[in-house]
Amino acid sequence: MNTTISTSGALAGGIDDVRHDGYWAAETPIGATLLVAGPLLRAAGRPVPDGTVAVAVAEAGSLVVRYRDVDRESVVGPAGAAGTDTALVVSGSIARVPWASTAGTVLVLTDTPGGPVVFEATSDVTIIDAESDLAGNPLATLVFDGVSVADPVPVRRGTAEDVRLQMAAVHALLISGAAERCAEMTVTHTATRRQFGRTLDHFQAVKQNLALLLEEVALVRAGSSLAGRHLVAADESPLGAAARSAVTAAVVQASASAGEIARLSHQLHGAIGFTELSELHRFTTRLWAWREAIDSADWTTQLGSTAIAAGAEGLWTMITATTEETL
Amino acid sequence: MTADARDCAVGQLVRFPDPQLPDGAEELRSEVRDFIAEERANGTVMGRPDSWLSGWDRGFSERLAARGWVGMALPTEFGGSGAGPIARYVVIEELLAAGAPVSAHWVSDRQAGVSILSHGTEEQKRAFLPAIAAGRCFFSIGMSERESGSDLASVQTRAERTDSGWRLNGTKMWTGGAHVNDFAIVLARSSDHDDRHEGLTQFIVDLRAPGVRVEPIRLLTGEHRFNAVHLTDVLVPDNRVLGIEGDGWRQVTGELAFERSGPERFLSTLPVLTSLVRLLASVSTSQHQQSVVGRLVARLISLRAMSLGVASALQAGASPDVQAAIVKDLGTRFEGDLIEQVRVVSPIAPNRSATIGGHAELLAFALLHTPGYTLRGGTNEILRGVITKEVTAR
Repeated sequence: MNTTISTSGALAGGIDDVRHDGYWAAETPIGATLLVAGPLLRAAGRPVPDGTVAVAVAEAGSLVVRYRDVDRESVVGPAGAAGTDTALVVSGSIARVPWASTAGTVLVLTDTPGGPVVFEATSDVTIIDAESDLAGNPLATLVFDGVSVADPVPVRRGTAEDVRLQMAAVHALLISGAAERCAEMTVTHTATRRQFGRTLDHFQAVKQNLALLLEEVALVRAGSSLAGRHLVAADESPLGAAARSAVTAAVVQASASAGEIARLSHQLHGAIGFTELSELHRFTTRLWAWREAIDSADWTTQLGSTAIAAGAEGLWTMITATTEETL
Repeated sequence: MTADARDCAVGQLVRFPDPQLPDGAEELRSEVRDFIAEERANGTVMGRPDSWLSGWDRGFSERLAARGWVGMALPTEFGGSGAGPIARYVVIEELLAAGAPVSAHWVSDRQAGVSILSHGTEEQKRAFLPAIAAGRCFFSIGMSERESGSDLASVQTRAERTDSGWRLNGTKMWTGGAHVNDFAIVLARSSDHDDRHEGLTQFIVDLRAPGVRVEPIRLLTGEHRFNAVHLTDVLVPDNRVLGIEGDGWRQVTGELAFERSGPERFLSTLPVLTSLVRLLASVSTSQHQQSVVGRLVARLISLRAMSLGVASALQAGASPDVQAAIVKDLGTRFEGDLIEQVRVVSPIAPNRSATIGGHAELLAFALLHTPGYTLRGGTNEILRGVITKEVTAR
């Protein structure tokens, strides 16, 4: 797949592509490719590689990064905190990176003594599928054993925070897509499965739960669509305050609804959904897995803190700003 | 329905239109905010929850109308601003968020004016619409009865033909504002049919006419908002039949999207969250408090996107009734959830006797209003039937 087009039209299409990926029970890092790696590399003026790109964000302390060619004349001494050029030596590991073992390219984002950079993981980086997520999909660990990085790409400060939010937004869109598939399957099941001489959707209790399921799916979709529009509008630029509120809200809502959507889908499917005889589990286990990927506690308290800091005067403005700026 | 048709129906139902705010919306919003700030300084806007039920202020309605912000859905030839659904949305969401006293003109602005515009005669439009848009003519809606709640087709109020019009007999229940309003649009049975949905007619009834007796039905707080309206041989002239005789059912169900999906279906209790934030802004907060506020704000932003999406569709001439029902169920449940959540993390307990406008009193007031949110305008359980029907049509 070629993702080198840098118009926001392409990015808008990317939003739908990511949602479809969730709807079809994704097995590729298409979201990271289109919504994270693409804008990041374009902003840095670098070409976007063909094929899929997994993105690995190094948390503070997970990697030790030094300049390879140490500037011994530097006032900071011989520890590698200053270099005669930009080449780096990287050691340490980054855990729980989805699809890193199957992606065409793995992009690493890390802090260095000279500020944040991205670089492509070469064959010197060992990639092991060490864990699997709740859906059974691989989570890779990247091991760096004194890996030499000849040409790291400097990115602006604050990039890591935006990338974390973009990755969470990708998972919100994936949740939205899988949620929609859960709703379709559940509507079909209750329309065709007969008990007591009638299809299940004749029962009032079933109707009530079906409506709650559809509503929750619609809510996640609306939130993530709004977030998507902000991501498209920002494209290569940093996310502004309104965009951050909208995207964070979508992420928090997707995370909050994922469990309820899985619960209702399974309850309405009865025993079959709990077994391999139905495809439902491919979508519900992904809802649970992607909810973990979002790391919702952080985003929820962050959104709450922002709202509290806005105060009684600013709270409502913070909410209306999500549909006014740049849209 | 085939499997593909069902999948398609699900997709269409859960995909809401994108909210599209036209040029000028931001400017309008800031004008409304300036107006509200002025009113707040004068003590007329007090950040109260459920202000579209309980905030009665004729003077405020008239000042709002003077700015062109009442009857915005009405064309200019009838005194409205012709600004359309989205502009009206911006104005009313600002007013509700600020807890402004909008209940005097609420029903006239949201429903009665639009009904008269859609179904009324030229004479009726001239008689009522300019006064509605001026914030000087107030309507109640007379639909519910003791035996007719969600099941509206079972109304028993009767309309019998006379030489020059109709004679109405019956009792309307839970009629908001009938003790202070000028008119009511009353749904009554004008003829008997096998199909209960036939033979219903809407009448414009003068609430001060002979034979109209308004009896208070107090809320559980003791507030007087609702009434029983007893109609005893009330004479309604022919020119006060609204729309077509026998077409009442189609008329009352035809504009549900307007009534179901507006900001009043999820913002009724926002002032209580605002009040909590006011308290928390000046102290150090716990993670629990932050995450409760975060979750509420996330849901609010998502709900508002849905509600504005429906308004955008209305603006484009569509009538997304079922998506509006989705907004109403989610939104009204949110209004009650907000109170439950805020209560848990509030440093102050709800207290009816506390200073008016303080957090304790606002919280108590909104809490005691909780049952109403998911009942008014049709219960949520009935709405869910409407939603499910959309994807299980046989």
